[in-house]
Amino acid sequence: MGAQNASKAKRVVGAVLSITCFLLLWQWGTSGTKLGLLMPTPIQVAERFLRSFVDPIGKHSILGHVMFSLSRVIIGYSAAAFCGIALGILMGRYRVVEAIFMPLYEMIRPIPPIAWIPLAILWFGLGEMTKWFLIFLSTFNTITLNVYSGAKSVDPVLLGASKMLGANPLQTMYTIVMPYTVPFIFAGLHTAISVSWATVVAAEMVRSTEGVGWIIINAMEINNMVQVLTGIVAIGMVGYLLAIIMRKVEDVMCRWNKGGK
Amino acid sequence: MQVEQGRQVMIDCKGLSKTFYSEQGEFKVVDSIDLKVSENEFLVLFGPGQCGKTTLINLIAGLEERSGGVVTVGGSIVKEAGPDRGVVYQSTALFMWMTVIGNVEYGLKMKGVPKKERRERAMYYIKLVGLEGFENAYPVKLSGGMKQRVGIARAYCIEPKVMLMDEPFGALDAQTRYLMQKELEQIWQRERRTVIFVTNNIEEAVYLADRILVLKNCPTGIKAEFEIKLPRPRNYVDREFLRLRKEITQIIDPTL
Amino acid sequence: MQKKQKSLLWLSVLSVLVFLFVWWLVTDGLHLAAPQSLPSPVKVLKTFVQKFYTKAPEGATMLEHIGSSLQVALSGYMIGVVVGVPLGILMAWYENVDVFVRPLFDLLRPIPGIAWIPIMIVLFGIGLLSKAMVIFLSAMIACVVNSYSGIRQTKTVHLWVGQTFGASNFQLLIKIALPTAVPLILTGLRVALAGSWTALVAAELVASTKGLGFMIQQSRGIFRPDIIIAGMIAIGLTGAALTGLLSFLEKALMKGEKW
Repeated sequence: MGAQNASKAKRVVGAVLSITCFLLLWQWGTSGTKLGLLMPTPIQVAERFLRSFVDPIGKHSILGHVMFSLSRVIIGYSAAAFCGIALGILMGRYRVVEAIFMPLYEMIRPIPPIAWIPLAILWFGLGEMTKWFLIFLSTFNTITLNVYSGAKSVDPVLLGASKMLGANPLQTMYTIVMPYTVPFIFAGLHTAISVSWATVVAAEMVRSTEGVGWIIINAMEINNMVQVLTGIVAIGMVGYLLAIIMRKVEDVMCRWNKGGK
Repeated sequence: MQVEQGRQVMIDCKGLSKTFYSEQGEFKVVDSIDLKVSENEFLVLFGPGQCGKTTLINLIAGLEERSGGVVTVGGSIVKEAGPDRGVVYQSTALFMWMTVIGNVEYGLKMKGVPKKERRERAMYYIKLVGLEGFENAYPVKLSGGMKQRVGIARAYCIEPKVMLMDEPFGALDAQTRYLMQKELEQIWQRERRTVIFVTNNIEEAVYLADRILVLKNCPTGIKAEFEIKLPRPRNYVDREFLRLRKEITQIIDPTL
Repeated sequence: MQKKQKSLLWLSVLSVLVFLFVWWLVTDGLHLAAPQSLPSPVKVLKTFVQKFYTKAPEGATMLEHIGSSLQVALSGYMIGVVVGVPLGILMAWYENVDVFVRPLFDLLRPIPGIAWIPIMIVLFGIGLLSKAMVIFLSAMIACVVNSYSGIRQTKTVHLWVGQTFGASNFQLLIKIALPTAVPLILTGLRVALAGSWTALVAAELVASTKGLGFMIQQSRGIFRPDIIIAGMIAIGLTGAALTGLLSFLEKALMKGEKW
């Protein structure tokens, strides 16, 4: 038992096998069948996908749309990361801050960020601000929670040790609390990137004029399934890349956590 | 309380007590302790069990707030933890995201000592504890004994007036423990300091101590006092060593 | 010690009160915001209560919306759990299953459930099923991931003990790995529930004629932010209630057993 032990070669073979089977099944299921009237074949999708690097969907090439979506994510995400880390650390270290902000946070938390979309559109219209706001909201929650639980869990013995060694409270904050919290910060950032990608897709699907989410909803309106799947492929690829990049960054930043026995 | 002639009192506790409050009620953990430690004396607090010894040393270090009594170290009253009282923890309490030398020089860095001087002093103590060559390693890669040496070097590096060690070898395996006892003894001989050392291991106590205070359990207080005048370094199987060991053990367990 | 905690508690209460007060001040008090953008808390409360027995303006009462949303969400959730948990277990236990299924799974994972809506509508029509399928996907993914982790963290030592007693591979799975995995499987159920609820709202925003998501989307079009906020509160409360219920069941289940 335990698939972790499978050799790399076996994994590669397995991946090739399963993906090929899947594509073949898909191709077979949509060629000249009833299903084929509704759904495109993988070849059609691949062709459209590759074509859209030059041949635009709507007003932009597929890269253009991806850039739009990514730029929205980057802005909302960065703002949320900055605020979330700051608030999380303050809440974790200072009981007064915790007492003030925790109840407000608990009230907002049960409402899924997606549920804010109509209100956001009402407030900010159809422009970028709406998307930034939504992405900020969805990532801020996740990051703050992770950072807060990290900052709160700093071993009091370590805090005592730093005091014993002569550090004043500010120095303790910079040299002990922050580094200790770094793994938690990255755990939060890691989760948040996937959440923000899902949020931007949702926001774009509800109301947008460009972006990967728009590709899908537009395709739905004009009943173009090939376009839908092209959009899905783009969303999946970018989402996958974001997760991988995040994991690499996390590995590098948290080097000291990895033991070597 | 015996204080050797001519040596000044470094640590002075009068009526030291600590009570913890919880929903279940009050717990008196430290019960009105008086103790004095002379300059450069190696005092061992010996007692079985988990209750009170750590609290007592934390009170002296200023890591915990007193409920009653006074602690004076080097003439000044102890209010909070500070660099005149170095602490070595059983869990080592090393800063895992800093290298060995980062940990050791931390105290000096906080004080604002310039880099070159910091490094030199830190390296001196790293050499002293026998970790030369490991200064750029991260603690996660070190063995238990090595980690504790870093802890000792770190506490020494701030050149405190006193050193407080809370069962520093408690988490080590038996062999490493013997090694560390020997090492600590040698380190202390080269860099004399006033030390309070807490342990529940009788051999360790008799090997290291100038004086042993046998503690009661929960609430903790002083049960007995022994002066150990054996020449150093000591021999675990020396007749006098074994006699003392037996005598002290009988105090804590009269059935033996 | 206790005094400090009490005063912190008061601070929390005060914080919420200040928030509500400022909200009221900005709307009803100083009229700083247009009522079409930001309704006063009083109005929201009134609307919230009213909505429980008024069908206007979008055609159903609050309860009907909640009912519809719950129906869809829970259907998708159940299927997701029934498929996801065993799949995760099998993937973690049988190497061949993992090597084959994992690549496909990894490809599916980064795609947010909502993106599948058009496909689901084409395949299953515009009714309950298409939304349930979208929710099913989100729930399934969460269940697989957590069940997988749960089985993988079975201690090798325990398995060795089982093998010494001559247990077959299947028996090892059932008697040793599975019980160890239960806490994480339950975590997966919880995460899947939260994910399902979110996916449900997303699906209803885009493709629905009833349900809470639909309600808030419609209300935007007619400039009734009070209904929107009331709806958001309902969404939050229902979601919290579902999670609470699950936690309660979890605790009741774990009562006798020590993990």
